[in-house]
Amino acid sequence: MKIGVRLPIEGAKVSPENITTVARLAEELGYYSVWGPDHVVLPEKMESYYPYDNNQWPYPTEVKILDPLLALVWAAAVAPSVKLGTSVLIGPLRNPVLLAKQVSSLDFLSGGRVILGLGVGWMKEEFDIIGESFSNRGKRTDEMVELMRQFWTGETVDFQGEFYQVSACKMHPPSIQQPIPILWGGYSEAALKHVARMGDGWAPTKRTFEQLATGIRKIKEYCLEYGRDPNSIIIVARPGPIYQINADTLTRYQELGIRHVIIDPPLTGPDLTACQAEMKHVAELCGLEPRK
Amino acid sequence: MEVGLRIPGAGPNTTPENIVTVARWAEELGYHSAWISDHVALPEPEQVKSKYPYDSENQWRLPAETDWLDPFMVLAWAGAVAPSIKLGTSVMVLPLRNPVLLAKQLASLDFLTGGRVILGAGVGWMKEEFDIIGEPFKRRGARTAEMVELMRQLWTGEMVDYQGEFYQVSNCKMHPPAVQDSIPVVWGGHSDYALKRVARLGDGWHPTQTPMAQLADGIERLHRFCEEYGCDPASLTIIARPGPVYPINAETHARHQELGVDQVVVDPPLNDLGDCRAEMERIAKVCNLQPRG
Repeated sequence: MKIGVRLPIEGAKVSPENITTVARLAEELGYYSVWGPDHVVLPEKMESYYPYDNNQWPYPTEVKILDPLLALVWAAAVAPSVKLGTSVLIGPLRNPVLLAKQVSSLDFLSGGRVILGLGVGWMKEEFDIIGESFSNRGKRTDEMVELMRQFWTGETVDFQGEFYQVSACKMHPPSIQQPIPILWGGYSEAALKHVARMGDGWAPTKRTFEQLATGIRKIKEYCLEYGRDPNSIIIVARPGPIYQINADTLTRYQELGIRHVIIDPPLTGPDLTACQAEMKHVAELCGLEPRK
Repeated sequence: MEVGLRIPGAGPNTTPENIVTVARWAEELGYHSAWISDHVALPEPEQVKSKYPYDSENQWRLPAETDWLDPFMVLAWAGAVAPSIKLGTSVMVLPLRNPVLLAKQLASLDFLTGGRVILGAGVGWMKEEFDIIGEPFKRRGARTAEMVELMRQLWTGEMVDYQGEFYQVSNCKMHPPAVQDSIPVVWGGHSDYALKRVARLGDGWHPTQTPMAQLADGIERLHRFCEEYGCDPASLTIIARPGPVYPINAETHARHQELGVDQVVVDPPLNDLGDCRAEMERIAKVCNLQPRG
């Protein structure tokens, strides 16, 4: 079992020192990956439908959230082996050329450790603030992925899409991984189709086992439809507060064929003690091999 | 006078290890700052019709395969291993980017590094790169001025209300705010337009590949514009980057001091790291840098 851990890049425990501490502990305990979420700027008034936590957006406008790619490059510099993932980065808030550049630069600097978890977003207010269209975000994200994959090869790009047209240029250095794995978040039919059609994997957040089973079944069906090998799909589950990681849930992961799970250790209390204790507990439970 | 240097995040010998090595040498030898330039995606040089301002024939000559890492990724990478040096862009082409996303990344870099960011800002010259990214080239100067005004609001962490011609943003906050009261913005460019922008918007001037006579003339013009815009010239930071135009030696160092240049960014050779180290040591001696303990 591969275990990932969310870095303290949002909320009260955000600091460069805490990111370093958690990344180094992950490295030492044999965690496979470290992860960061994504919000750029928060509105005073939020009316969009939040798909998690009983649809109650839990954060005040002043919640600290670091840019995920910067937090990950920071973690990469202090922890030399762990993979670096976004869970999830909101693709359509960004320009695909600039995003391709930053992701390939992170891959280059880290020696090929990036896992790009992508979401299409749900908070319309954030799209409005940044000035990107919310209504076409799904189709636009599809194009972004195709275009970024061209850039990452280092070859001459020629892309003529509905939203993006780019030709006769190159981006160097190319990414180390060819290609950088892209996981799609989300649970809608559209999201699951995306996974089967053009994803390297599925990264569901805060989903019950029933939902995971349903999602996996649907992805397999879509894979058949698109002529894709369902076994080539990576699944990275992130339960959040929905259930505990224990012997029972590990068995259920095995039954579902899930081999990579991200945990959200508690960031309560005056320091990182609770977080570190949970990381050690899960490492023991999953039999992780400590790194020397 | 402070001295900064370019680190190998672009061009020959761009590797993660070399960035770390040179950043640590800078830290050790008492350099003030590490700098990185900016290109996102490149056309083949023969397809570049835009006039490159730093070539005698205005011709861009670098192949499309030239390595050029993202400035943010490089500066965070260097900042994580070198704990004291400042981290600057020389220069970042602002109008290729969205000001809200850019403000976020600059604030995050400033937060992670404990307030060490210097934003060297340019308006760009390669129209082809604007076309690739999909941002308008026309009126990029006016747009960049708005970007900086908006970013300065976002960096405070207070409620933003900005109504510009190009950007309208209100009723939102960006946290964490920048660690520095405001991230210093130093502007590239030599035209009257560029110098007026410095006097109008602060916080400094960052001329690159400028001969000494032109540097002196620029500072004089800048002071004149300061009077016009009611800006105290002493509040502006001058960061010169001669590049290959003249060497750093006792004479040019003295001249910089006479002109009131606050900092010089040097370009040590990066084809061979041994040569790079030797040049770094030589310049450290000329400029009397104090090694860090």
